Amino acid sequence: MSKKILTIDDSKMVRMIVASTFQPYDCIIVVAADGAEGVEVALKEKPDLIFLDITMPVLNGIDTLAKIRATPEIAAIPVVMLTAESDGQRLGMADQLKVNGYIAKPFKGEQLIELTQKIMPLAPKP
Amino acid sequence: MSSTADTLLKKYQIAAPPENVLRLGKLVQGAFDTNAQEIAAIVKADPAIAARVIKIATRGKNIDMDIDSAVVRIGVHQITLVVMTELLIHAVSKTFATMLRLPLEARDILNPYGDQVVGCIYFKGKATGRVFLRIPCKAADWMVTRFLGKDLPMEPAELLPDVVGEVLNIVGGNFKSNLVDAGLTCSLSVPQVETKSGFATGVQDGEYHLSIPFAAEGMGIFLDLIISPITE
Repeated sequence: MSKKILTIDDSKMVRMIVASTFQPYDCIIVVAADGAEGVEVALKEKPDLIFLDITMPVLNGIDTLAKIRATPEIAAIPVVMLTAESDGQRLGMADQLKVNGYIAKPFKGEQLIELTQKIMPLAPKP
Repeated sequence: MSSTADTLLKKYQIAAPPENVLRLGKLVQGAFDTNAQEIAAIVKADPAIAARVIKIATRGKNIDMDIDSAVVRIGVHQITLVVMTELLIHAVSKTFATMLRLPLEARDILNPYGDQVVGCIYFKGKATGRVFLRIPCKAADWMVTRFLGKDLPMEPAELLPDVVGEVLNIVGGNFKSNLVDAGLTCSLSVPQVETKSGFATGVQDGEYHLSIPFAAEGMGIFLDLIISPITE
């Protein structure tokens, strides 16, 4: 069964890079352009994994992660931060909210695949 | 960096911040209680910083000046700007090297007139200022296809503002993280991007400003850093 990955990022460029990175795999990519939309999409789509940016309009990534963890239907979904903000403060906040991984931008596609495979199995596209 | 932050960096396999974060931390700490000799020692420890400090102190003229004299002449706020600039240069170079495998060189290049996409990101807190990133529109195809490939759902020019915004977000985010790790807690705005034919930094009295041009594959990328003086 296809794995579903949600990318929450206000940048079209990042959403496109994530989609093309997982293109060879049996994955469905769903997207949201800010944190509030991301929570809505997560509730509707119940993804297997979420990539989450921090600096976003409407609701930033830390507040989005807090909301995800506080919403029982989606609280257990693994979340990986994909953000340029990787100082001790941000890492501490995300760690307290039980983030499952942290990728600092700039990033390479291989980093996304490697970390995803630690969280869930990825099969090649049939 | 605290030991907790160090532990978290290791846990999430995040690279340690560049050495200049430590230098910036010492400068900020020392801005109000360190003497010129100690500041000069910080400057001397990094050849790139030392070269830029001399360039500013001599106003680019071919005058012999030692670091100690240059430090006294330009003062701690201008030196703080120089160290921050080196952190920005590191962030830009890292972004292009990691995502594009493209070495970017910080060097003078003619800024062509004409339309350009200008992105601006603000940081506010113990350090306050803004960073501008400018890309000439004629470099749109090159920049966008470098990041996203040639198989695009729309014209490169339509994607350029988003690409500039995200590059600025990455550069600004790395820079802001460095400031926080150096003890300059601050928040970062979402990038604002617009296309225009002219450019003005809008530097106010009392602000410090440095321009950094980059070149890659004959294309120019232009960065401006403007900071307010750091206060206690």
